[in-house]
Amino acid sequence: MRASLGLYTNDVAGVFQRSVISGAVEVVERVGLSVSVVELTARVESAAAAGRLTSGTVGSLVLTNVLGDEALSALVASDHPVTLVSHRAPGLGVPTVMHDNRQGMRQLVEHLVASGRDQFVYVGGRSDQLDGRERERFFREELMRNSLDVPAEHFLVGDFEPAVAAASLTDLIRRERGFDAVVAADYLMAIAAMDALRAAGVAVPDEVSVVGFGDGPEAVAAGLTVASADVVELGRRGARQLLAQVHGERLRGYTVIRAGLIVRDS
Amino acid sequence: MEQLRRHNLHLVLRAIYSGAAESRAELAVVTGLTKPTVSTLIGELLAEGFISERGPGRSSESGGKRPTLLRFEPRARQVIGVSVVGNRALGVLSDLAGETSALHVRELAPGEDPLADDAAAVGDVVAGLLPQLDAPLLGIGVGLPGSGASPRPAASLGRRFRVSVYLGNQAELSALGQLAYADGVEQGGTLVNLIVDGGIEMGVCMAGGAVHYGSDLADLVAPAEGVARQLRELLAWGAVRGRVEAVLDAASAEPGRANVGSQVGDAEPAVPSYLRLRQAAGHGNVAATALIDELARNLSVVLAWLVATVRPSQVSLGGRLSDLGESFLDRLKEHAGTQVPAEQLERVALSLAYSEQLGAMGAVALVVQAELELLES
Repeated sequence: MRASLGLYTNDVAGVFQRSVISGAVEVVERVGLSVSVVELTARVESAAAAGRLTSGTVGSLVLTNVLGDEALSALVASDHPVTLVSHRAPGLGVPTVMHDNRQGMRQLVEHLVASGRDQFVYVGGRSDQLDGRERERFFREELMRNSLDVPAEHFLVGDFEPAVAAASLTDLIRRERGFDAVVAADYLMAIAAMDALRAAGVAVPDEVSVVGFGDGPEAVAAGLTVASADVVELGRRGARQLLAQVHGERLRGYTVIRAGLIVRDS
Repeated sequence: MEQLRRHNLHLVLRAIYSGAAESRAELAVVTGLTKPTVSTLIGELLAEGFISERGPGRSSESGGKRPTLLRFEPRARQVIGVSVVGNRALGVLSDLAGETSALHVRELAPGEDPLADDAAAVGDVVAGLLPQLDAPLLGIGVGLPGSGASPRPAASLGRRFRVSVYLGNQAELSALGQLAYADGVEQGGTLVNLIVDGGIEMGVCMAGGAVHYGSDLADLVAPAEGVARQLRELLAWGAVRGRVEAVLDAASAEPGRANVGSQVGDAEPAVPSYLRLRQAAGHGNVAATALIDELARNLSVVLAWLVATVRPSQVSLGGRLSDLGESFLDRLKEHAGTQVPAEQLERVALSLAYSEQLGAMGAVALVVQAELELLES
């Protein structure tokens, strides 16, 4: 029987998760191992539960924060190789692979500023996810670097859910239209924002530019300008990091995968 | 003999890399080597994957056989460059043209010395990037704070990873990184990079990157309000942080100025930073403006000294202080103008280099230069 790696996530059907899983599976199967994908509807907190979950596997790829600190600590203490994807567990010494949120946000804001935009709206991700927190933090840093002020009411809730993002923006449009750019913490929310703007009669990009973090076929079809973060590649890179640990490397710190600006029509 | 062959190999490779020649005949003209020698060297470079043939070019005006065009293959090898920035070791995985595919970051433990003989933090960064290699590793470059670093970390890393390891001062490598890979840098002049962060360091790069050196300036003494004080007391983040924090706290307490730099809904608690200080000054905060002016005045002593002695064509400001932005450079120049003749100062272009990866990119350039001599000399 082939040795198996565990891959744990909160939603195997999510667009982001599906892409990461496909990249990871591609790399792992190429070296003759198998991947057991497990959807966890509740976070695994205890050391005992983590032990049961990972029993029979030679390593774990943890996508989104479905394993609590106690569970992760126990796995690390038992020398079970673990790689976190797109989140971090500060102080636990678990290696991580994630996208370069700082570079991506800098590119998006610089692109908009160079296009003459200076009245921004931000559609945020989930604050319980590292990507959500970091992208907002780096967006704020870039505002300061470019001497731009964004009023508090222009920071909208998006939760990485296109429907939530669209509702928040539609609500804002009803109150005011004092903005010329929308930055979304992911590309699916950005596409929803484009749709919401057009539904309200706002021309994209003539009146309002829209950009988002991450990239996929949906963004290409929508002509969305993005900080391209290849999610399938993130899965591949995460699997490579985990395999290095399975082969005996002790890794510390986090690996950041570059994001590049792709200017399209939005 | 081997040294001469290696020199010629690099001569040919550099001519293709720089675009000076793209066929065997052109290479013979540009390098002065015989055609048979060029053909032998091209064979070696093709076998190593450093170049490839990209098809036939145009025949000459007198007709004859169409030449086979050659191109440089930047992805033939990868290089790891590491620098220590603040309390973290940061590494980049780059191709030979400075295109990076991944970074790896390892926080330093409290009291951990990045210059320790085993260079554990740097080793962790290299180990973290090795799984992401897409091509053979050419070498490892490391930029470390301070000058006169011990060669032991290089030996230790070389034994562990079995490739050549090159060490340099991080400010020196930042300057080299800008010269090699950044836009808007004048290639023929002398570039000085000042890094003002936890310390104060200077890197100088000239002759197209062939000559570079670095110095630690933290112990230099400068007059401040009539008293001679070390630069570390005047400019190092550890000495200034408390004052920045006090100014920002007071600004937050002003009526109508709540949460300077930390708007409602901020996902993370605001920490004192030069970005926030700059924002407070932009909002008209007098204390923030005064503190920024004081920092510019203190640093202007260094700029004036550089202009008078090194005579640079460009000075770039890196490290945390660069977050104060273009208006800080204007103040810096204004204060330096009271210390050196205006015509000397006018010849110097001031710029910001706020990427924290410049030191690591310079470490990449150091390896590429040492192993392949691609930079012009």
